[in-house]
Amino acid sequence: MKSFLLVAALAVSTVALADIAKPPPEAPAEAAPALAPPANAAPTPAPAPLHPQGIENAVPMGVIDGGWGYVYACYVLAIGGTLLYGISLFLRRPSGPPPASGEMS
Amino acid sequence: MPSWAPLSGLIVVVGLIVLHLAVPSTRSWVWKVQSVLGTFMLIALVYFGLFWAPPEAFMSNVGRIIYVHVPFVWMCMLAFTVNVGAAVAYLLKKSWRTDALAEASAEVGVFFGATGVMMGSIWAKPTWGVWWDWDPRLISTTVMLLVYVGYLAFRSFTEDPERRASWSAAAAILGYVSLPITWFSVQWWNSLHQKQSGGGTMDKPIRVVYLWGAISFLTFLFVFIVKRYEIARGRQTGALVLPPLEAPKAAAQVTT
Repeated sequence: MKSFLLVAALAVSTVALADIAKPPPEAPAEAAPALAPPANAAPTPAPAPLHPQGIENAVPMGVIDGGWGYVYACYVLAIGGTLLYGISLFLRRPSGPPPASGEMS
Repeated sequence: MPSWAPLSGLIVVVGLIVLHLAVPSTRSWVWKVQSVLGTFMLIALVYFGLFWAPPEAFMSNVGRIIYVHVPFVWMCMLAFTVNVGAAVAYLLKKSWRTDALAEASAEVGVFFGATGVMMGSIWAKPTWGVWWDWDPRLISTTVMLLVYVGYLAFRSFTEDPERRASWSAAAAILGYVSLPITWFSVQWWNSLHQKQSGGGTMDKPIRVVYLWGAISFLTFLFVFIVKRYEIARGRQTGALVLPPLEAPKAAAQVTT
């Protein structure tokens, strides 16, 4: 029984130590030889900085296409509103003569 | 837009109103000249705004709404400035004329403001993707309009003319606080609405049509205020005329 417990303790400790043991050093990979750029090559443009939330991918960028219906609606509203308010003032105009000078000043 | 434009617009419209009120001989023709001038300028604005002006850089043709939307809101703010000026004048020296001018300018301002907000909502759909957003500029503009709608409602509910004039003058001064909040809201808080455009941010053709639209509606602002002023004066005059007495009814016979 004692020998069984001793073997079990050794096995557990071996496994535990194996988890924290340093991995064996790997052989350094050989660096690929750098290609020399041609003398007349254009410089590589730097990548545009990306928004941390990735908005560039979510928000379309560009010019609004169309939309004339909204424009016409606003102009009709402006002219029609001005016309209608002018008509309402005409319909509500006082019927009598304007108050004389000094009256209800 | 040059910073002197709103102030010079205010000076022009106040000058025309003072001319209309102070010089009786001008009352019959100045507003007619302004009406004809404004009508021709408005017709020309349709051509300039829809066809002559170049498309905006990002909004393209949708940007043409600026030529009617911004002048309407400007006229609203100018009318409310005339309103507070008339209210202060009434409190300094009680006069039915300044009370009538305050009533007229408030109603005209609400007309221009409500129409301007509707046009802004139409503009928001293709540019923001929504008809409305609870944005600081939109909220402050709505509150400002509701303040002046309440002002007009208060005037219509109060029957005593002197109390109506005094209280509404005080309310006009308090309500005017909402105007600078609306104007500076895009600078004080993060707003979806763009900030005020300066003269250097617009190309010349756009700036010219922009000013043309502002002057067009400035003429209508003057005409509307003076005609609404005449309505208010007529009501004041009519309020002092007592209604005719009813004929005494025959005494009821009491039967037992």
